[in-house]
Amino acid sequence: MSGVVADGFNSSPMWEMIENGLQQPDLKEKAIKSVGAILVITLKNKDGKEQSWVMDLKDKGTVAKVDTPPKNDVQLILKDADFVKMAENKANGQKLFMSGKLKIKGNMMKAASLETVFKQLDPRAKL
Amino acid sequence: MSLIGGGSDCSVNGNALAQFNKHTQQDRSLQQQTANQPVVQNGQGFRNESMMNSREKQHFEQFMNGGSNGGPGAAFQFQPMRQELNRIQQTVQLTPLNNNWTQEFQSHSPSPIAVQPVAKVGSPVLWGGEFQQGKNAPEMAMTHNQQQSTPAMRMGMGNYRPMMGMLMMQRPMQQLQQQQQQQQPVQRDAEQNQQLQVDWDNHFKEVEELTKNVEHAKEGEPVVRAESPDYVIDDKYQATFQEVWDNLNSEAVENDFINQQYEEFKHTQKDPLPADLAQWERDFAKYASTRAHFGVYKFEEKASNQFLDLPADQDPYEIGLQLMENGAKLSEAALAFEAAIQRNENHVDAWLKLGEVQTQNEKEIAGIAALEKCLELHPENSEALMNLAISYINEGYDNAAFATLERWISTKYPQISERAREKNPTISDEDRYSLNKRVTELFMEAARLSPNQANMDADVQMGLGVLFYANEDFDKTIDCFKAALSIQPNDAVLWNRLGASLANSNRSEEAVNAYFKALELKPTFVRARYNLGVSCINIGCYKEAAEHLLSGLAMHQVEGVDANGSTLNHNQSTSLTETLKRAFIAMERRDLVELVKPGMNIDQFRSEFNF
Repeated sequence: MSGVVADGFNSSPMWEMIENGLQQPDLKEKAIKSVGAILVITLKNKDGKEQSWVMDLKDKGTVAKVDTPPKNDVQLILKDADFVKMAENKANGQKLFMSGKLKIKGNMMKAASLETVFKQLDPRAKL
Repeated sequence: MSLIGGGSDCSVNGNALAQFNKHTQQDRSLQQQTANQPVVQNGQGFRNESMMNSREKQHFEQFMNGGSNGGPGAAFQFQPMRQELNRIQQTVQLTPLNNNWTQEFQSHSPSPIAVQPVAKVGSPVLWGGEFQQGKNAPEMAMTHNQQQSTPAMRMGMGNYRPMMGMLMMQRPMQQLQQQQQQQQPVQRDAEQNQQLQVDWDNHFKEVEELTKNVEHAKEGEPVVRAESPDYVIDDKYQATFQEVWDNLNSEAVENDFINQQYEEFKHTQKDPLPADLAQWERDFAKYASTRAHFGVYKFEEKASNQFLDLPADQDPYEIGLQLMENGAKLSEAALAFEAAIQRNENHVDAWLKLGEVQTQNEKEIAGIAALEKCLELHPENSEALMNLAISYINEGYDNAAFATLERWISTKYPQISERAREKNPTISDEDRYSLNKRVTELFMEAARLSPNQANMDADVQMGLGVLFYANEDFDKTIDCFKAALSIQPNDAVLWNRLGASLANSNRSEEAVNAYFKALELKPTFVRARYNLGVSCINIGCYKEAAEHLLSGLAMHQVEGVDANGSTLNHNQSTSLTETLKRAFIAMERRDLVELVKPGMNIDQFRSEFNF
């Protein structure tokens, strides 16, 4: 059982993928370069349970499940289901924010870079 | 219309403003003629006409002409519009001025027209408040000016500049209001209006000050936020500013880096670059020197390359070509070419073929290293240039790719690049966008040379497609690749490229067909298998994805080298294994994920997967 998985959260596979992706040195480097911040993501699942993850894309390039959010550059608060949609590229962070489904505390621009990370981790067809 | 929000009121039929919009946007060149005739049915008896200034007159005429379509009031549904206005009157207390004006307008009008673009004097107040709250206005009564302001608001949220646009918008609104007041001067309202204007000016000044603060103190984010918690815009603005700032910084650093590299490159060159070297060559040298340093090609170990022990009368290069033709594993062909190179280090064609094979074998980095080496030996090898450009695009080195494509044009179509040089001799360092634009134009020129199907150059279409691809203009890319395929319908590589473009524009299902076509032509094409796996993941068929990826991995194994058939040690393909892990994670099979590691025995998956 991986350290980033949380019971009752549909986003668990996403976290595993992120963790897995960040284990690749080149992807990790890219992610750190494009974000350069510590992101905290707080998700709320269907049963109203809350869980936070911290993505250190400032220097370490790690992701971990935490109980209390540490010092961070930006915190994103959204529903578990919306996060899954975002990671699957089916929802757009900006739209979620506009419709109030995504709350952001801190540096807005760093929050936007989360989508770039998803894109980088996504396997892309090659010419 | 969707910007204003949902609800039946906003449906095209139900919304009076939508109808209004439709009419004003019609081509009324025919009606214009009748409108210019002295007696216009609708215009009759509108006394105020002469009092209007030319601009308002224009608006008025536009409006009237729209209304005259199909007779007064027939096509134009005034009733809902009127209801809408009534609703507005109920929700927002109109000043007497507006009421009077509307009544006057109605009495002059042959049909009950009650449209007033600026119906509320109070709206700027709301608007200003709205601006501060940073909220959109779907729930507010719809008036024409709000309709305009909402998109502007959206833009303003994302970027500072459009905010200026909002100000511009405000001005015509005020003009309209002033015109209204000219018709019926009401001192009180004028004062009120002025006050509002002043208020707005103040707001603007505050925002302006804010921006200055940010500019002065580049690290001043927290300070600014503390000063003005009311402005939602500041967060966004800061973000944009920060972005621009970061870009500038990184560009400066990068330029420094480029210059430094260029100097180094010049030093390391045995003979210094001649002064009369064509500009593009210098450019290329510059870009080539800044490429991502994929390093020296790593050969497989001698023990694992059977082709090294060939007798002297057999040419491993020829054998490699034969292997490719006969549909042997690409890894084996790669070994043959490696052997050929190890015999003769300056074997340009062997380097080229090695590069091609490795990229098709989903070993991009090895392929790039080989192609770079090939170009080092033979800088004008157009095939290597094209393949290298595509590999750069795959790896995200877009600028290097564009420069390489430019170089391709100047080798294959020297007249075009020369002409471009003559036209604009002062081409210097460019940003990604203008470089792409310039190279695209060169390729367009080249494509125009032979517009006929018969003698069209498939490679030009290829390059053009890649340039569009880099800009995520996938529809155009697909067109280009299809055009190239019409010339070379049996090119597996091209089919795969078409598939990749389709996949990246979210047309995975169509992409799968293209990949199958590619694999039909060339079953050993590992890249197409990898891409097929990626598309299967995107569609949600994880098991199939895993099977395709595993079959790709199986092709990396070379028989007869090692007793247990392990994959080659160097030039591993991480993309295949990482994507395989992803597929397993999506299948929620953590036990399988654990098994995926370098040097794994893929036969252990055979019990569950068919490949």
